Amino acid sequence: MIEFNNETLANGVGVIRPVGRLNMVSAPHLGANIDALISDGTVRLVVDLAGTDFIDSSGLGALITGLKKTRQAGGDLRLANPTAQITAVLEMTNLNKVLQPVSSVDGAY
Amino acid sequence: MGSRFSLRAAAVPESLELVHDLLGELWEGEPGIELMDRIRFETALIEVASNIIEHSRPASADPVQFVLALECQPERLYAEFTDNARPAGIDLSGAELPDDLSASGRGLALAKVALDQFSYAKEDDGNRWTLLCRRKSEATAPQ
Repeated sequence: MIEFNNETLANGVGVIRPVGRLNMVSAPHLGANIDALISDGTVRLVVDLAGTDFIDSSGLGALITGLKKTRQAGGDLRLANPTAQITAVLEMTNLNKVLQPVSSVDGAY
Repeated sequence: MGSRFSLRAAAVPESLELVHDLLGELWEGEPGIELMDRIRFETALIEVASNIIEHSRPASADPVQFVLALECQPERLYAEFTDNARPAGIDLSGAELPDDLSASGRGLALAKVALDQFSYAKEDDGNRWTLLCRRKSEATAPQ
């Protein structure tokens, strides 16, 4: 199971915190969370991965889709605090260039 | 030497948790496995399990099931998935990473990158995948 603990910071940045594993079951929920924030006009997003134990290609797909949607809306999607497995998967797929992680939510923008 | 673990599960999304749980048993039973080896192996196994769950079609009236067998040896981690689905005829040589901004098509390519050996075989009564990860810690350790 996965949970999302989201918040909007004072500077208008939306923070999405998936807690659990991002896989073919939970990736659509991440997509829905991203879509909901964009619909509300929050287009600068940070996905805080400190509590995300595992990501698979479906989870990567949801992040890439979110990246494209936020950019189309004039914003961006950035990653913070990736765990070791996520860092490794970003490197293995060469996605660490387009989804370059930062070490803290505060430093994302 | 070595330890073995296995499970049989329905090809449904909920079974992914069973694969993670089985790997958890392996990590607990073999605490000396390097983190990067665990990451590579688990990442690849979940991609193959997801592929079976998402794309398998039943070959008969029986629902699709898969069997996962794991083996841990000092020099390698080995997994085999067999299923009773309609033979899929997958060509792993065509599994390449897509463009960076592609939202899909990364699963088997990711497994291929993560593993040292990866094979798929169409069988008379289903499909067989084998996954091998050479343990870096043992391979590079001084004798």
